[in-house]
Amino acid sequence: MANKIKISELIPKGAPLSTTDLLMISQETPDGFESNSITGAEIIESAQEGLQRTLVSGTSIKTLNGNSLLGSGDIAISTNPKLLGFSGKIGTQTSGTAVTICHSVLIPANTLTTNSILQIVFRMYRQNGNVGQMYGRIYFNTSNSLTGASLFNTTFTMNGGGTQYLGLVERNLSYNGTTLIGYSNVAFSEFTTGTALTTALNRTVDNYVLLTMACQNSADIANIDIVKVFAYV
Amino acid sequence: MNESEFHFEGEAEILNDEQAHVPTDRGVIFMDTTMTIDNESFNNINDFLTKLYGK
Repeated sequence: MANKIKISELIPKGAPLSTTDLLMISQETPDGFESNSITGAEIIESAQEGLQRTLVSGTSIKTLNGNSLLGSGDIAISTNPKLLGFSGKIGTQTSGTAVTICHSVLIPANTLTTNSILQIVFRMYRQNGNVGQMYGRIYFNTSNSLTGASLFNTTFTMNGGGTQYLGLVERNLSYNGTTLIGYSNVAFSEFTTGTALTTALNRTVDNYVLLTMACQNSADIANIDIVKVFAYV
Repeated sequence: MNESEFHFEGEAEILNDEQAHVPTDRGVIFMDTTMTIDNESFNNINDFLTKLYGK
């Protein structure tokens, strides 16, 4: 006959429960003893039911571009091309001959490499009036200001008095680390031949793409209502 | 040549009373009457350009 021990008299194991442990309790019956047992593995499984398992990077949780997702903090997701900025609404309006920045987009320092493409798309918008011409231009500057800015030397023109209310302009500029090369033509798109236009750009500092409008007539109001600037790097 | 050194090329394009495009060997630069020359301020772009070109 087995010894009888009260549960309160059991000696603690003194170590964490392991999967190989076995807990057995015997109950005295008229015929002798009836035993019930449970393994350490079953206790652990039961205790962990509904709990999140410890994540193992690359095993139970995927990695992101080779980076572990474990821990705190932010993981910047790099895309190519990089969207440097966009807008789907009008910016600062202008009237009269004042050249005004309607929208600007920052090119952070060291974004461009020695082999990059800068894609600039914007839509000139006749916000009010239909009297005279409207002029869209692209400038580059190291500050968000026109003063001292370099002109991408093409003027995009919408005529007044007709149906020229919108004009979508696109320029793709190649960049070799020092110089932007674009298409010099007053045409809004580039799907034709033209001469090359170069603009020096120091990629190691912040640069702004300044998208401006001006009007021929003070009765008109010009603006820009679509902006997309991408960098292929 | 100093990085901040520009050489003027051709005539400036006056945009309005306060703004102008100034051609240089490094492309066309936007200038306006917020700029000063030797700490001198200007009320209109014509006076600014006259001083700038040393006429």
